[in-house]
Amino acid sequence: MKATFSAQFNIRTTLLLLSGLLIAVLLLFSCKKDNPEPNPNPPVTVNDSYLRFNHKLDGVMVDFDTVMYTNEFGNNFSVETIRYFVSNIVFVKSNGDFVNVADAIYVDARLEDYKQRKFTSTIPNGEYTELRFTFGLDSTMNQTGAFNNFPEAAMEWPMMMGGGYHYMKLEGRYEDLGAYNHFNFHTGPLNKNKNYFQVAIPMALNVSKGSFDVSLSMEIQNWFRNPNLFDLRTISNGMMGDQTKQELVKNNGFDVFSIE
Amino acid sequence: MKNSIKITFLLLLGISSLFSCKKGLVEKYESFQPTPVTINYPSIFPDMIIPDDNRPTQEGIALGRALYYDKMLSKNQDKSCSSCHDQTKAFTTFESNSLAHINLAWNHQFLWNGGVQGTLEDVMMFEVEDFFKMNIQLLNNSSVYKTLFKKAYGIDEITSKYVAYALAQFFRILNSTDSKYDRFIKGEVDLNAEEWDGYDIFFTERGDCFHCHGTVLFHDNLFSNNGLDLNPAEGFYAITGNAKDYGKFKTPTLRNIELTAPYMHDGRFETLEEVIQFYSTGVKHDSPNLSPLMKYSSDGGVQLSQEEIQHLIAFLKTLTDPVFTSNSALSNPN
Repeated sequence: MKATFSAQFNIRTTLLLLSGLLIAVLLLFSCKKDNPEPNPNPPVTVNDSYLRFNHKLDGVMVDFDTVMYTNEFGNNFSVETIRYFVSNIVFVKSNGDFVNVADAIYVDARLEDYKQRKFTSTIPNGEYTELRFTFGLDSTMNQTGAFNNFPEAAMEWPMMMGGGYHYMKLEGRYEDLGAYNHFNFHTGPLNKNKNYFQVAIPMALNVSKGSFDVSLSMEIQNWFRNPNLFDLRTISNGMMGDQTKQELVKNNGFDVFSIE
Repeated sequence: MKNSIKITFLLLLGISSLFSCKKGLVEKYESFQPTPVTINYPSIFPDMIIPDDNRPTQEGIALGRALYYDKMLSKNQDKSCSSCHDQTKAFTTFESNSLAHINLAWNHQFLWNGGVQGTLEDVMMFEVEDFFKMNIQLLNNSSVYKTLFKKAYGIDEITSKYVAYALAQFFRILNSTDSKYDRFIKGEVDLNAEEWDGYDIFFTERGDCFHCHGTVLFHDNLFSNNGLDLNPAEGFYAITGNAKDYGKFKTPTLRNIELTAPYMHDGRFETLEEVIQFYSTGVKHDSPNLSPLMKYSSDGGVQLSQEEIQHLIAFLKTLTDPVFTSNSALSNPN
């Protein structure tokens, strides 16, 4: 009798212990499911920022490869390639405060991944009244080896001609007496000359949540005019090695870009 | 009392079996410990493309090297990679007109018409399954290969994937970075007068070679039509279906170009003289989708003199890397 009672007691004890354990586990998980107190300072959703690059001819997005445009000189021409660097991109407030947006951006007008740059970090809120950047790469940045990976590596400017990288490759065809020849509008640091230039564009950008979405537009026609009128039949021949031509192009660049 | 003892015993049994299982897992892990390898290359080169699931190891590279030279790779066991890719010819052969296996670790695109895009693992998969049509069972019947694959990848059953992975590891050390030109760039040697003039022709608009064959890799990682034919073969169009890619082929590297004749996607030119003569006067201006970089095409090309052609060839010969073509670590291990 005594032994039987003892055995029953041990089984009961074990079962009780297990049940207690089970209840404790259930309580623990049920507590987890309780709705917490509402957060008085809920996190603000911050969107990614974008700097976008659009390329236009006569105000309309460029249609590549078809000879259908006429420049101010009177050349009929097409566009096949638009690749370039912009750098030292800065947003400026009216009081002079500024934020560095990007060091260098490579743009390829025919590749989706290279027609805009995404930024995941925020910038200070406020009213920004000017966008400034360098067209091309300044002397400090434009050193051979700065961009070893593709596609930027293919913008290499030969050491024989000063080294570094092209600022821009603008290529296409022009019509000449019924024939279609190629032009290569290639700008860069010929013999280390500072053929890059600064661009400053007024803008009205109100940043309230740290993010922005700004679109820059390149009007391709403006490379070929104002103040220098270019004949595509002659301007790009030997342009890379001709400092006079490099400066003429540089002087035309001041009104190529605008903000949309 | 008896029942409580039983319960306790069962608990102890369960706990001890748990620990014994863990010990078994530890033993299995310790048997697969490939030796990591760091592949060194000059800092001026791009970042090498290495997927996380196929980091280089001694065992993987050795296995890939064995496979590269093994005719078991092919369906009829009559050819290996090396049958058409001879190290003394910078890993190509005259008869095959195959693209040389040089510095492919930095490529995203493979084959003359861009038939494979991606990593070395992707193109090796194509080679194993589509080109060689390898009989995997032959490897699984080989105790030697079973052991090599076990050591390299920890697998018991060999599959096409791991054959491709091993080959990719070997390809990642097929790197040519020590030519005379490389030593010239580092300031270790000088170019002679002919080579220097050829260097100038190559890297200025005199010859304009650098626009497609620039960078340390001596290619632009792109596809272009260089104006060989008025009616070219379809080329990259066969892969993309984009009419603007018709007639475009991969820009090959010019490293070791002295050794890798014949030239062009169809091997039509047997000598460098023929190639440069083509670029001087033979470019077909009206070839569809002609590269805009062929801007002298209306004159047939860059119009080099015979002396300039010879000087350019002298420069191209400085891209030959005798270390690469004789390195025993890349040779047939048998």
